Amino acid sequence: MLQVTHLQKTYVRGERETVAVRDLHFSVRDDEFISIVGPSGCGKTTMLRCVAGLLPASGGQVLLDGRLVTRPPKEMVLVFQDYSRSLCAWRSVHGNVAFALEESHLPRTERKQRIREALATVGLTEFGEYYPFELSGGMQQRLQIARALAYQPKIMLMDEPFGSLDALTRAELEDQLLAIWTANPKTVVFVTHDIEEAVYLSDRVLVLSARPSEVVEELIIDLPRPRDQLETRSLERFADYRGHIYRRIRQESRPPVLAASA
Amino acid sequence: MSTRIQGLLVIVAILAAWEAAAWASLVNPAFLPPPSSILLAWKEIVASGELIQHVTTTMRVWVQGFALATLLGVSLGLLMGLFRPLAAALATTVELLRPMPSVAIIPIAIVTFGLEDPMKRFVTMYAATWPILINTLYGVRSVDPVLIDSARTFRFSEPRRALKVILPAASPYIATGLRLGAGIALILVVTAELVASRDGLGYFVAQSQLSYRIPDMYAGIFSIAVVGYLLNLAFVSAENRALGWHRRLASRQ
Repeated sequence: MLQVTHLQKTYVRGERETVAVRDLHFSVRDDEFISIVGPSGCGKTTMLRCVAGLLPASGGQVLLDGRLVTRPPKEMVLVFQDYSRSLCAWRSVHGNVAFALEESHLPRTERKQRIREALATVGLTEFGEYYPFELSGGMQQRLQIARALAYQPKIMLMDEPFGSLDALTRAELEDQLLAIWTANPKTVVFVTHDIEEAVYLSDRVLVLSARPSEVVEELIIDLPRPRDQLETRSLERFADYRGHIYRRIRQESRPPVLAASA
Repeated sequence: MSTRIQGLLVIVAILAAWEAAAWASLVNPAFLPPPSSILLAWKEIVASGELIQHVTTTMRVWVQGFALATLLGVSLGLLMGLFRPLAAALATTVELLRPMPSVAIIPIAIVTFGLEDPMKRFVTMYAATWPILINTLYGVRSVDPVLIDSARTFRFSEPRRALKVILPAASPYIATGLRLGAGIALILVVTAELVASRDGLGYFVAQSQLSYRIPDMYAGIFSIAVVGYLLNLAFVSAENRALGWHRRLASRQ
């Protein structure tokens, strides 16, 4: 179980203090798919970097199975929005997946096996010798996901992973992610600003306030699985969830005066 | 290809004009001998083995000085790029020393090391270190923080990150530093040989001038030019081979 207790992050720059995360408090069950949505610039990335052990929190704690997270734990991996900045441009597709296992001390045969499986899972088997810049954006993000899968984490943190892809590629990758998660369940913490995407993918959605962020709403998504881009999205309940979250975020991102007059 | 042919044609034209000017006595052939007699002199020093001996000496010092500069420049640049306090501490020293023309170090080197290889090696290393150091430093600083976060996620330790992520990511910058450093190293070897040495191409040129063997002097100078050209060619092609990913990446953007 992943527990985030009263997480707080304040940046101090000279005299000025900026509170990025005021008070985040939530927990995620094992193998649960949870999404976190919030208005843009609400400190989602900051929160995720704290959870991943990449950034020390100013207050509160991140606990993984009861242990305090102070540096990146081996059960966790973070998938970045910006695939082109996160991949090694000098390594082939195969080399980029191998990157995840270089500090793992696994035997060679096991590594090879994992790399092969991860590439097959995301459908990049044929592209092992290609370089990242020779691939489309969607393929590069699949490569980053393959790299994360080869690591075999218990928890996958994803920071707006499909945010910079076109709508069709995005739908394709959403389904691919759900298929991977169903076949091989793991905890997913999925950060997005796309409300529909959050509802479509998740068991539960957390709604964050504008910066400094707090959890203002928690919604269990009770939609049947396996989900389908057309069927699920045309369910009445899907529209209800979507509308509910949308209104909540609009409230959050509006200045209070305007919200009162609306 | 056609631009290369054009370039060669210009050189041929210049040499032809020069040859004609010398024969027409428009210039004093004692100071500016025609290319044909320079070629003759060059053939002689090649045949006698004199040239190859000096080239070997020059290249030996160049290789040694450049290797030391690479070691020093890359490691210091990497450390300064990784540790801000170190960079801050050394910044003033670097900014004071770097703009000084490196040849000014030669008198100090002669006093300290004498007139043999150690002196030449030192000045070569000193001069070539700067571009390598500065480019490595910028390269390390330009590595994307997202890439470093990725490496941290996969639990690369700090030294392993430097080796497996930061150095390769900075390699296009480092390669530029090495190419610039290689050229500067040659300048310094030859300068040191010209002013204070008993062998090498620079020494051969200086001796030819002093003993009034003017065609030999020109042959020596042209040999230096050829060495410089070939070195640059070698660096460019090595860079293209090793950093093909970067060139193709850059051409996409």
